[in-house]
Amino acid sequence: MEDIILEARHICKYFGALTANDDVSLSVRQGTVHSIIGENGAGKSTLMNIISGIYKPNGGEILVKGKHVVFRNPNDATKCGIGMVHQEFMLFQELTVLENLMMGFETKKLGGFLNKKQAAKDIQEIAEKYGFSIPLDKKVSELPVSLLQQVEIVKVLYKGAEIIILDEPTSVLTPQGIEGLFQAIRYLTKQGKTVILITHKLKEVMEISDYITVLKNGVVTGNLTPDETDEHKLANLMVGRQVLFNTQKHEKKIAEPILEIDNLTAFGSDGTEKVKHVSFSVRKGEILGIAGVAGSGQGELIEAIFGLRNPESGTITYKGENITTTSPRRKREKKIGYVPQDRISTGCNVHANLIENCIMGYHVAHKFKTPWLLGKEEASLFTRSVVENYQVKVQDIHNKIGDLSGGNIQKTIVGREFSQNNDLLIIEDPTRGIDVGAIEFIWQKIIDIAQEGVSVLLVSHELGEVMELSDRILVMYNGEIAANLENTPELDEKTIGLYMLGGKT
Amino acid sequence: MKIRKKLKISQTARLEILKYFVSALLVMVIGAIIILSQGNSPLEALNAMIIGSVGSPSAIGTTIRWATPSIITGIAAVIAFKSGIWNCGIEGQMYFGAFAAAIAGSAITLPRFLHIPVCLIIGGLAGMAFAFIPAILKLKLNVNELICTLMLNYAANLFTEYLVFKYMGFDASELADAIATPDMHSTARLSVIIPKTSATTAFFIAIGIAVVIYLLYRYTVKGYELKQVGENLRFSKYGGINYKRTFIMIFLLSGFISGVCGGTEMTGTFGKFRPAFATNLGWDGVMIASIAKNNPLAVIFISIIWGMLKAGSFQMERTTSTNRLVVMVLQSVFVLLVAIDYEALFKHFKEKRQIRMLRIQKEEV
Amino acid sequence: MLQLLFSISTLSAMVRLSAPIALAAIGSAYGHKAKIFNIGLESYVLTSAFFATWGSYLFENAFMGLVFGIISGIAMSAVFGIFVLHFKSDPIVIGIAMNLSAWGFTTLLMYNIFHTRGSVMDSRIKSFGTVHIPFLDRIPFVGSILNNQNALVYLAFLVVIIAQIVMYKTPFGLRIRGVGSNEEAMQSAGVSVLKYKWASLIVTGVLAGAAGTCLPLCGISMFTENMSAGKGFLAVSAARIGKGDPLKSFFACLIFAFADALSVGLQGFSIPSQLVLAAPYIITILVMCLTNLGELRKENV
Repeated sequence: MEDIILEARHICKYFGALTANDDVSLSVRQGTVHSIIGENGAGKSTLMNIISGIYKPNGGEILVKGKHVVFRNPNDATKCGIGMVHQEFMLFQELTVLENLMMGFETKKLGGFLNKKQAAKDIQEIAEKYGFSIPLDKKVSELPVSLLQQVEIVKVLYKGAEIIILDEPTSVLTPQGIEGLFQAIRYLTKQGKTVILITHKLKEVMEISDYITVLKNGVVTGNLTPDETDEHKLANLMVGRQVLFNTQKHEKKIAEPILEIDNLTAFGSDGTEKVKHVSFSVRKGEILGIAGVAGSGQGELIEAIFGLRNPESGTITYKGENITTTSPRRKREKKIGYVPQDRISTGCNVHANLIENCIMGYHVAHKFKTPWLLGKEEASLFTRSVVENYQVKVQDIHNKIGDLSGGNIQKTIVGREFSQNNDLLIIEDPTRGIDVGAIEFIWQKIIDIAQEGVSVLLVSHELGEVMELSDRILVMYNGEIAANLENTPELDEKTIGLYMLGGKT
Repeated sequence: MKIRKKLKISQTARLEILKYFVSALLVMVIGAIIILSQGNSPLEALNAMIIGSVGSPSAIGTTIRWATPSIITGIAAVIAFKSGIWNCGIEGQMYFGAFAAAIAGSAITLPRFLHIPVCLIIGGLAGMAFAFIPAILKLKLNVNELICTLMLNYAANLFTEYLVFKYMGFDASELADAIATPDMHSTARLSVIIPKTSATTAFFIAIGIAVVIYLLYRYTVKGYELKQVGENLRFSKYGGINYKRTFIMIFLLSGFISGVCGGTEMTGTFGKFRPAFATNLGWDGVMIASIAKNNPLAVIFISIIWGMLKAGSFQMERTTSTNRLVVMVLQSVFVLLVAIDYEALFKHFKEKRQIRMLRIQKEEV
Repeated sequence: MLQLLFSISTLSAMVRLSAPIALAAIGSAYGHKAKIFNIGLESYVLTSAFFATWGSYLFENAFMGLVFGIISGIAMSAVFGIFVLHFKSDPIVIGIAMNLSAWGFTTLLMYNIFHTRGSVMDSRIKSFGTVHIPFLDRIPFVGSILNNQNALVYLAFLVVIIAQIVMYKTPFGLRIRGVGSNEEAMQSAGVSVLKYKWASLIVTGVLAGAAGTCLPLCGISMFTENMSAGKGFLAVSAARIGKGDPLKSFFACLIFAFADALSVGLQGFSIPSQLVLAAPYIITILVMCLTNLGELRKENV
């Protein structure tokens, strides 16, 4: 059964001066789960985008079932039986699931009209065969994340995929959801399909893979099977040094509450209730982590606390003062800082230089010497201190922030918020999609600043991050606080996962 | 390291200059073709344009006369566009400003040093009041400000005409030429700077406005905020900029300056309000702002060119019978050409060439 | 007064006046679904109004006028498309520049071809005729509103129905909606985004060209300077109000056309003519306000 179904030979891909893939070769056997691992920026996604026909390689060749293929576009790859489920789902929010699945692959009836009935029948058949159940007539925007992933998998199956590429599929799922996905993957391979899994989570790799390929800086550093290796060795191949995510924690005193949320309710952008009667408090010097499946209301909760979204009811008290409807401006003046989830669209202005980016918020909370004039010197002094203290790699602070890498942008944003003597920091997904070095650095900074007595409200979709950093963990499910747990060594992922799914109350 | 950086900057600047130069050249070629198609000589037309714009003191006066409103409406547009607000209602706001200023100039008597500022401020306030409508609708009801201001332009034109009828008690039988507000007092009129032309001290007011706005963007906290709001709205809200207040402020300021432009037109050139007195002055501002890439100082420079084109076009029509609308078409063609994102275009071609090279390589193998 | 509001003549005028706005609005709706904000529609309408007049004049045939109008509409789309899709220019800037040049351009051409300013009237310019539909005679009131309209009015109705079907029942419509919804997903589905953006632009061009044809060739057989007078803007706002849904956009057009029809009917009354003429523009703004009222809560961020 284990014939080589897909082979990539000497693939090279450059983006300007950047080498994303350098002489990468790979062979995948039919009916197996082949994992491609590497840290962010190692070239995993680039390789997969080449195999699925989205990018064109600068060199090298691809063979499917022993035959040479050249993909001009994703359609060519689809015709060769290659289907990819992207990390950011490639779905149309305004369209129904059925329309999503039909897009680019329409079943027609006489006169060129869409044959929705036939398509629906075909899709149901495939879904049943592989054990998925998806509502075809609902709009995509109404479905939860885990179901969207199933829609994506059914989509590639419907298009006749033999090789299914899953790009970081577990990052949006709960531990239980991951379990379900793995079951589906095993079922698919049993039916003869081949699965290529891209991930950076070593535990999962060891659990599910038949073969493992490790990428580092665009080069293959290892081709192994799980039996020959363990997590430490893999990490070594991935990063090139031992990674010890053991952030330095010290004993500290946690004092009185600084922020109290009482019975807070807020609506989402679609007009539905996203935060339902939530109450909790953050104490001085505490790191309070909020875990939960993406879309459980964390984003809306944070926006409501920071004043970017009007709460429907309830109160927010900060240092004994009611700040429920206070604007972000006033909140910044009261020493509340915020590191937003989306660093490009909210966290910075990519068209502006580092100085303009660093003084945002600072100009409100700290003011310049004169209330009217922008103190150029003061501004560049502050920017320099951020750049130095947070190891931002930039040649000149007059450069545009948009030209920096994701990790450096994130360090700048974290540096800006952390350097303003804030008393409360709201931090959302601080390490999403950045390299390991930057993750380590930012984690240590968070621990350090809490040590100094600053309170931190940390929201992350990476459960590992919340468990690593927090003193206390809240779990959100469907807009409510499902659990409030002390982060003791005994606390395990499975328990939190259950809360995340609303399984335990 | 430092030297290389300087070189890089000058290179981008050079590219920018080259871009404008090429656009201008293309516009001239297109202009020559249009003029030829009308059966006239492009060279003669060009000659007439030059004589009409800088050939004599009175020609220079005409140039200045037309450059003045262009600067002011250009600045009104810059303020809005730089913050990402599409206030295309400059024309309408200007009409209201002009009407109010004309009334203030004729109905009240004041000493000269007070009368002119009062007229201008009343004009500005009227323009501001009219700009308040789209601003509040956008803020409270999320009505697209672009379409709203476009509609209001038509309404403003008709409504000021109605106000003139109402104020003067005209009826429909009146001759079109007679429909106007009463003459403004001489205390409300600006001085002429070049005799026997309409070039008035309004030109200095215009330059003053442009410089003040330039300084606002360059040196003040507010200017910083306005720029950030235009470049990334979410970022600005997150950073503590009060967006609603800023939005209203920008819209009102833009409306105020548009109204002032109406005021300078009345106190300067016209002396009384006539319905539909200024076709397209507001749109000139929109065009100039987009050519100047929202830089207030560049607005002055381009407005002077605009004034030359306009002054020259009258002369051209008189001496060569070339229709002066040619100039208007060419002006908008210039806007089109300058709007091209050459950088993106260049990148695109480079990628295409890479792919083609790759294909050739493959075929050789 | 009230009788005038809903009189047969007012409603019949509404139907007649809705045709150009509706055609352009349907075109704009396809652009809206593909996420192309095309404020230059006004220039499409004006330019094709001129070329329709010219075509009709050259061939002494209204149908050739329509052909000329549609071709010029497509040409305008080509200009817009090249600048926006290939030269990556700001669509609003391009739209504004096109609107401004259209006025000068058509007036220049009018001068070059017809050697007049202001307006063109010539016996060689032929309009479309009215169509009598016998079975409508039997329906009282509604029949007399809908019957004996210009051929282009019926064409507009037909276009609305076909546009609705194409938008929701064919692969083409599905893909147009997909392009506007998520371009990346479109690419990964193997559909060319550029191709369908162009396709939507061509649809806009064809329909706006037909809309422009309505203005001179719907009976009056003349072209005047700046004849479109904001019809293109009305169409853009109708498409926005209808969120790109052809049928809903058409209903918005009917409201605008009703205001237009009223302003014709009210001219005999003692209301100042300027206020009456401003009514369609004011009503457009009011309709935009009302349709947005329902969605207020969503945008409180």
